[in-house]
Amino acid sequence: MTMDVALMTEGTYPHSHGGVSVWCDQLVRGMKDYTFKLVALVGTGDEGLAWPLPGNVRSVTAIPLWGQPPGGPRFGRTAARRFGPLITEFLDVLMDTSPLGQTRFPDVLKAMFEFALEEDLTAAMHGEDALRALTEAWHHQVADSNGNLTPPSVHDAIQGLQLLEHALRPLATPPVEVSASHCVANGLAVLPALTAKWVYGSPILLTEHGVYLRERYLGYRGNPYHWSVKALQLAFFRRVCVLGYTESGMIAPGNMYNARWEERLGARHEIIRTVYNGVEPDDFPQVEAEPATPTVSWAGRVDPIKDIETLLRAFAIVHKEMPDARLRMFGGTPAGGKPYLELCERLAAELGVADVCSFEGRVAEIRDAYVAGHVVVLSSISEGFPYTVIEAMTVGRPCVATDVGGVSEAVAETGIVVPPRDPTAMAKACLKLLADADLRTRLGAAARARVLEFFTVDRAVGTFDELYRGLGAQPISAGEKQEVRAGANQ
Amino acid sequence: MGAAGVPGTERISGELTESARPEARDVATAYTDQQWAGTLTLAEPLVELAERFGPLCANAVDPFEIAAGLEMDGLSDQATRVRYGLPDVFALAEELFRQTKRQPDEAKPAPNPWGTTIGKHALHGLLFALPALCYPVASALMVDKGALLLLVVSMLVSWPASQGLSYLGHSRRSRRDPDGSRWVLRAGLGVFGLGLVTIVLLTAILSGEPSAIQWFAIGQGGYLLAATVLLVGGAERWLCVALAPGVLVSAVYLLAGRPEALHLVAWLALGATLAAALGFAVWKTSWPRPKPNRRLVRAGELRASGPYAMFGLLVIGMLVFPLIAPRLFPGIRGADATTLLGTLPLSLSMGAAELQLYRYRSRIHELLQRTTRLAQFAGRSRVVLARVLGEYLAMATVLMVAVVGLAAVAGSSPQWSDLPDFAGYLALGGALFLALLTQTCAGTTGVLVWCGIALGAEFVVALADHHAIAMRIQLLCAVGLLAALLTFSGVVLGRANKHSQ
Repeated sequence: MTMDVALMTEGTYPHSHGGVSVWCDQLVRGMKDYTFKLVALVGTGDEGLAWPLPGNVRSVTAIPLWGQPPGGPRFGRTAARRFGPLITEFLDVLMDTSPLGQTRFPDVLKAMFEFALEEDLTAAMHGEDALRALTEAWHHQVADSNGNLTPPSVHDAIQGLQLLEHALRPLATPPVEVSASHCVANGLAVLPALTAKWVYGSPILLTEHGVYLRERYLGYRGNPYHWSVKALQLAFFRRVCVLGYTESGMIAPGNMYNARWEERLGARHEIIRTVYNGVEPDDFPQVEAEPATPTVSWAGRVDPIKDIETLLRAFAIVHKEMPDARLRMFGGTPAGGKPYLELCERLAAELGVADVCSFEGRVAEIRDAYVAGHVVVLSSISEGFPYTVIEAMTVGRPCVATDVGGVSEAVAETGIVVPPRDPTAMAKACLKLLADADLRTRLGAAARARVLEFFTVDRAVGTFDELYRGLGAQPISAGEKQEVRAGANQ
Repeated sequence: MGAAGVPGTERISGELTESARPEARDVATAYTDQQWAGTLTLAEPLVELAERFGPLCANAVDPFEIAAGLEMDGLSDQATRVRYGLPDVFALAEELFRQTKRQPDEAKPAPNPWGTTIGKHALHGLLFALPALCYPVASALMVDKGALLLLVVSMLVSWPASQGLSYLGHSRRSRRDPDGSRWVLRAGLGVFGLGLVTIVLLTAILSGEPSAIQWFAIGQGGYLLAATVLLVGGAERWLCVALAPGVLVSAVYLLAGRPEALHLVAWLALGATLAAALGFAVWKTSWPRPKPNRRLVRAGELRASGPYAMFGLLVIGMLVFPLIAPRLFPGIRGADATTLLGTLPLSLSMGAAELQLYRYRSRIHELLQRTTRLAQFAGRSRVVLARVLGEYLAMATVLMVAVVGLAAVAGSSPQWSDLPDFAGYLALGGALFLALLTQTCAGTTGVLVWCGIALGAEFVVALADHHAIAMRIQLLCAVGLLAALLTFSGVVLGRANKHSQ
């Protein structure tokens, strides 16, 4: 019997826009011979769909992590008696720094899932027993720390349990019955896949565009929480991510850089198969004409992670050597990002390049941003496998890009990869390309050829078809195919 | 990872060099050692690195956190090998984690969200109490036989409705959905307003006593609903503006000895206050419009608002008991005008109750951050509870003395024998304060049970003793309710998990 594939997402498709959502849409539309059930972890549950769904999407299950709690049967004395030892064990496993902690984790997580199916897990996590278990566990932890840790307060314990409660909400949703689960990220998106595996035996395919756990570590830097709260949350994420890697039948990272973290966290080397993001070549036809003025272009959102400061410092060096050169930057400023834009504008003025640098905001056709420059630069300090680079390459523009995430895998020798936060290296690379038209032409052509060879949507879809079949997912029958294809083409 | 055995990545174009294959390259690097040469001069020994990343290492929960931080700073596996002689960033991070003592930064105190100003709550107290000045204008109508029935029915509808509506509006605001809050308030005003008009008119017709008082009764309930919308929506100033004509003209009317010449003007002023309150309530909730296809109210929200509506019903039941007891139980002595004066400071004191509620939550917020064990918190939280209750009762007493004193100066004649009646209102105020506090932190069930028992007890006592004095019954039951709620809240609010919101 043909069954669906569950696509598990967190904070992306089909309720939000962004790179990962583009990838999901490409996948679902490309895999016309499969039907999908979407399981999306969302914010409050009030989010509308941001994408029109093709006909091969059978259902969308939204699991709000932050809105109104899902509710459940009254949390009575019987449930409390059952939950007391469970939460004590759960917290003990999270705080166990020995390898045994991870070994014990699957069983206790499964027990939490079984509890969540029958009782109100949210109410239980807000109960006094949970609070007592955490304050007592922390008390012992502090006592064992030889004075290095300050005792967390009751307020910290409440915060810690609240954060865990939100993270555990996917366990309270009945699992979807599917032939395979495809998680688009590790972490919380793996929880509904694990429950489907426990109940229906559905194998898991795990794709990572960024490294989920690495992003959690970075996200908790400079947060206002007590160290013990941070340690508890990160322990939970680490345990879940390791479980995600070890329980997956196949891991398909979006670049090889991710594989380092994945293997380090327990993923078996032999089940990792890199599947790169792909572009639709027809959307980015080659452009040979170049602007009249030597121009460096940049595309992305105005955000500190894009390290526009290094770009500006590099361009100041370029401008010194090549006074008629221009820097054009395309992309919007996210909510709350205005101070960073202003900081960059001040820096450009301090560097004396304000007149030849322009922040041009969003552009209707992203292709125009790449075409605007002789060279396209990526200055980020963290990336997965950025569309910006492979789209610019498809257009035929040579890139100067920082060596982060999968960038070097994308660019290889069709552009120049430089260390992050190194304005001198970036400037040298830009000058080299701006000064040599032949080199630009040669690298531009090689870049496009590389994309057409390795980074197309068709190629990615073909690989996932193999992976799905490898996991036991069956394409739909010939009789259903016509109907679904008609829908998928909508 | 290497290319071997990785399906789907074997087809490599002959046009690309070997090193250009995505799967053939070192996973961490792309640039050659020659490219790195420029950065080698910047190489730091491990000690310097540990120093530079000192805060990261001291705060790290495990080596992975350090690895993430090092990579974020641009360090790669190849650079690690060249600079530090370690195989990769993870090994370097482990080394740093091992060498660094865990010394987490002190967590900053969580910002206290319960700061408030006395002026805001004093204004609320005035807004709760001042409408009482408008009743004397309608006193001529209240001699009608059915007047009390219609006024009580109006209150029995509008009080629960306003409590339920208030919950719906506040709960959406607390979920950062101000648009949804505005829209549910506006819809509630319409639905409950229509219900109020229907029920009061039906009562008037069925009781066979339709009269002008029915319009006053409708106006009374409509004003309460509109005022609820404006208060929940944070539009106190507009409520002041709406209330001004009715209150000012009523005050002049009273001070001038209720002259016939001002009677029509006073009615017009009351009409203007009602119209303005309703108009402002509709206006302040008109924008922006809700998103299309969004359900206005969820069934769960309505269910959750039910207990708050029930609380409103129980409270208004207790407040009107001294008025309706003589009608229901002939022989019972009802409240007179002097003792009813006690409702005015009681209303004023609800502003103080609000203030104390904020103070309680603010002090509990700080206590949660100062205590590390649940038993320690439970003990100290009871001291905080007793303190805020004591402060509330002190403020309510001052208000009571001030109002009664002013009334005496204005010609009223309170007697020492009225003292228990005023004490009854104080006890009721204390009980209502504890009820509000407990509901805010720990849900409604226990509070509803105790308030229900207290209201029921009033009727049982009245039924048992036909010659009792209604205000004495209220004193007895209010003191009992205060004691019960103090015990109950002392136990329930001593649980730290009740303060998680």
